Amino acid sequence: MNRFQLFIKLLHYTKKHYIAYIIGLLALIIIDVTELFIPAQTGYIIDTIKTGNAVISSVYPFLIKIMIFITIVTLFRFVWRYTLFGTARRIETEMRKKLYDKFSDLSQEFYTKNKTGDLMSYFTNDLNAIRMITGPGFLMIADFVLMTSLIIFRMITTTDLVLTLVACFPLPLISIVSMVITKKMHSLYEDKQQAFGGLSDITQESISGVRVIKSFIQYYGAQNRFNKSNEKNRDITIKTIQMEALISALVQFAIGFSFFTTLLYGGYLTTQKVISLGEFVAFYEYLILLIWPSFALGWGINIISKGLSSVKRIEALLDVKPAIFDTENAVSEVHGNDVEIKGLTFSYPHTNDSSFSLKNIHLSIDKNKITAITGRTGSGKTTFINCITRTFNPPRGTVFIGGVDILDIKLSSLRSIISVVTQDVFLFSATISENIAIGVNRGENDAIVNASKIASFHGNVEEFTEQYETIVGERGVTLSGGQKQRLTIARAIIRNSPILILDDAMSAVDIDTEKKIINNILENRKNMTTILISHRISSIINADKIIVFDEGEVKESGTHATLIRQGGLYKELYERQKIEEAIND
Amino acid sequence: MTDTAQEKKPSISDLKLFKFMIRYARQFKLSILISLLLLIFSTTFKLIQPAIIGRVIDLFINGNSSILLNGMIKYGLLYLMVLAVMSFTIFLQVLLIGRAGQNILYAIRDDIFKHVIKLDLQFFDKTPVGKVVTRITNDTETLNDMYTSVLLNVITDVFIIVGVIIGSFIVSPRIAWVIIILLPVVIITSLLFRKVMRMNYRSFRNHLSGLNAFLSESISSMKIISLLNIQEKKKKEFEVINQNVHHSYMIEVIIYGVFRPLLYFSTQIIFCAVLYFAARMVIDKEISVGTVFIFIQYMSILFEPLYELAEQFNVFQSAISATEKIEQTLSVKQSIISIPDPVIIDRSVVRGHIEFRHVWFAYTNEDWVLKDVSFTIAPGESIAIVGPTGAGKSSIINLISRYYDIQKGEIILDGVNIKDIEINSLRRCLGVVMQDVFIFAGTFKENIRLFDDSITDDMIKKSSEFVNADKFINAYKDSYNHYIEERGATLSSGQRQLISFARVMAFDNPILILDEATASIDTETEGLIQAAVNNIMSGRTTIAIAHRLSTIVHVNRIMVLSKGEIKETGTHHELLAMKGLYFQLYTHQFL
Repeated sequence: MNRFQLFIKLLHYTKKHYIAYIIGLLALIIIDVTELFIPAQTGYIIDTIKTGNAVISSVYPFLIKIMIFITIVTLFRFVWRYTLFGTARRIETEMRKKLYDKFSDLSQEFYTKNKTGDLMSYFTNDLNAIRMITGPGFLMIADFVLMTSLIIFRMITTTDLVLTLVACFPLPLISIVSMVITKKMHSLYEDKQQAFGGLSDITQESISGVRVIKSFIQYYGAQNRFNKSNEKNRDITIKTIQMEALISALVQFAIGFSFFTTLLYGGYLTTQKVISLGEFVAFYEYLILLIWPSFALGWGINIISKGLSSVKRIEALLDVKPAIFDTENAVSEVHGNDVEIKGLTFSYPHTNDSSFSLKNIHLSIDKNKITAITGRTGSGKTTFINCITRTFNPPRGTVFIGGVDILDIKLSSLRSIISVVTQDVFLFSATISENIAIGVNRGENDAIVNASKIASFHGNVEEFTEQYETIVGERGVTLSGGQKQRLTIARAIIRNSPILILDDAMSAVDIDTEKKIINNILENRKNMTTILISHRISSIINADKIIVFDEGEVKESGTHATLIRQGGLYKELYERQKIEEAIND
Repeated sequence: MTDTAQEKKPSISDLKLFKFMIRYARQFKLSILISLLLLIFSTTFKLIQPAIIGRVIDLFINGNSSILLNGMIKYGLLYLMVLAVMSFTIFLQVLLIGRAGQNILYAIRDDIFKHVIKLDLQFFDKTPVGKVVTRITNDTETLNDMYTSVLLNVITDVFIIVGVIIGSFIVSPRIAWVIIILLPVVIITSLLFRKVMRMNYRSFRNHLSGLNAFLSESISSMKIISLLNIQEKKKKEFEVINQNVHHSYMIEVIIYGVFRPLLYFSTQIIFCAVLYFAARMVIDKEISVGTVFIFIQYMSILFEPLYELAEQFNVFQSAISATEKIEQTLSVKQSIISIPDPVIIDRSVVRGHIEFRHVWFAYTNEDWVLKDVSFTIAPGESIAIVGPTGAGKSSIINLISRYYDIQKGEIILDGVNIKDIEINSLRRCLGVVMQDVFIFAGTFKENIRLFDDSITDDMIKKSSEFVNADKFINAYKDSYNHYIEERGATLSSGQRQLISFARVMAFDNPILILDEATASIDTETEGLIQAAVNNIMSGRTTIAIAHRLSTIVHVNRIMVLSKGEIKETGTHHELLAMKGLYFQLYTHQFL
């Protein structure tokens, strides 16, 4: 997209707010015109009093006019602040919603490709840039155009053309300096962000690895490394300050130089009686009024260029199509809860790494039975689950639920049919009961307690003073790994879905509790399908069917007894674990 | 608990912040003093400029044209000179004080990092990593904002305000009084602004951090959200938060929208009053027209800093709370320190005789983790500790390194109580391999020698070969110089342990302390580890928390720990023959 197209997109964001912009602009015009008349009054006062025989009452009309003018300026300043800056905030809020909705629609593939921090920057940096361009950016450019043309026009008409030219020639320098320097400052700011990120990384690492530092007495080295980053941060900031020092000096000089030329040439004109002394003084005030717009132009241009590049980023994001979406004739109802896999071959998109991929899987997961899947790390168990849940789409014609290709089932239906407990537990910053009931429309207390009991979590909850109202997650009580896992199991159980998948969901739960949970599930899910994935063979012994994955293929399948009799991989894994569990208990 | 309770309500005091700043500023007093001096110069020059033009104006009214032209050129050149000197002084002054501010910040960071990494392990047990990192990075960064804005702007602003008042007194005391009498109008408006902002600040902060927390939570949990089929629910939740934030921002827009114009209004009132009095005094022949010009200019010089000061509020507010938190961290004391005149042991002569004599240990109060534990390990002997989770296995190895102090009993190394040994020289003797090996962002080489440059590349190579780590390292094109990605997440836990073994060999620690990994390790690496452990153990006193059968059968002795007590000791076969706890543990699964 070129700049013009981006600009059109930007106009699109603002289209609901034209009226606010018009009001703001009108207020701005009123202010700028009014402000223009204030220096003239000062000039009249000077011309009145310099004669030497004036009376004080003759300056009253001018003073009263000044008072009226500043009152008008004060009132209308409120108007533009509210309309322009308020609207910018409104647009920011609308865009924030738009972005969030977009993020909700995107599928897992997108999230594996992008880091959380980078995605967050859409909400921070880019939204801020949009706000700046729709608020202050607009103001600065409008103010520059209005104020500069009005004042210069006024200077020329009331005072003198040549004087105006002579006095104003340093002012564009201010615009250029402020433009160049803000740009430079922006790149320094980015360097600084990066350096600060580096400092955080090093600190984070040193603190996480503090044991190693202590045990190998590496304080000195760690300190040195930290200070290298500390130094870098300092030096970049000093560079920024150098720039600032340079700007303030240059700008002061430019303004002063403008005053200097006015003094010489304006003084000459005054002695030649071309302009009056009052006009000479008023001219100085006009010059002061011109300083701000000169800055504004430079800033405004930068704000616009940053804003447009954010528009570009945001538009690119809004254009991303979710990899997984409903087909045109997707069905929302499925009868039967058996899963049939026919020749499933799959590897993750955008990677050449063939580990975790699946090769020609054929199997059926019978309805209302417990099917267990086991195998070594990297054998493709989780990938298999990702395909069934359409976290990643399997190829067409390979995965069927109740006889329907899952690609033809509406995503929302599919996900109400299937409940998954993933390996990576995630708790929301909310109460325990909210966390358990998050996946159901209405979480009755009884249902929450019941689910929690099935997951063997109820006992733990009762130990908290706040019980089910205890806040967990990042900003709440820290639960142990096992407690977290059991909470997420309760979260899946309460949904009562026809198909339940537990993907190595009890790795941090001790063996006895795990067995208890599995028994509870068996009892409560008699007419439903359950898929259990576990490293730990001892906990899946009683499954109706056990499937052994190895290197993305189904290696063996059958009941525990038949598999042991076969004496293959399953038996080998089983024996080894048996011994090690003994040592560790 | 008291720790967190204190942190929730920091007592806000400007004085404390000021003291803290002064404490660090002292080291850079010379450059600060010079730059303050320069600031006085630049402010003076700034205020002289309007006076020069004022004089020229007076010339217009009184003088004849020949004097006038002369005077104009004379004053013009003077003005240009003053201007040039002022610009240069400003440049120098900003540079000097900015540098000082950054050096101060550097010193603060240096101090807090140095302080924190030396703290007891107990501190790190209790304080989440994120919190510690925030103290060292973000909180100091908040101070940075303050140092740059305070040192660069606030001080300059105050000088200019004071300068204008002094200048006014020199030019015309009566008008100066008018300014002084009316200035409170502006100050009250600013204070009111500050007060209203403060009222809004807390809810504003809360809403904003709520939004950010929700966003980062949502983005990192999008998979779960879609699996639970609750996107719509979350969208609604988000919209509520979004609107709250919007509401807060709008309040801010209104507050600024009311106060900025009001501030303008109040300064313009001063302008009008000054203009009125000046006009009167000109008419009464008390001052010249040029003086009126000087005051008009002074007013515009005065107003800018007044506006700016009113906005510095937020910076101060957060700097105060950041200082509070930094001070709190700096005040945490180390409790595990060497005694005065400690015994310094040399690792090259340490024999490795370890003895626990009636050791009682609890992390808190009287929740005994170890109860009257006694054992002796002879030099060169290897011992495996087995037992269920929570038996106190890790505590034993933590105590040898003196990460915690015991409550009762003695731990003795080569006949010396470890409390009497200089801590670093003690730890230098112990090669610790943790269950979960920490890998720093860096190359294999860097991870083996850590920051110790006296360990040569050759030593690294030899150590790695000795523990079989060379095979997988050499599988990388750039072998030892290979940069380990994602802090070792790409390595298996077995490979990470091998690196850790190489570390111990490179540092040549006479005693090996090993906490074996529980995670499943592929068969190939498992074999390498076995061989490595056997290699290292020979000739080294070794204490291992063992999870692997291969280790257990190779050690000299096994100690069975349960509930903080040693239940059985002996070799694998002896213990099996005893048919006690070990036997039970071992055979449990076969029953």
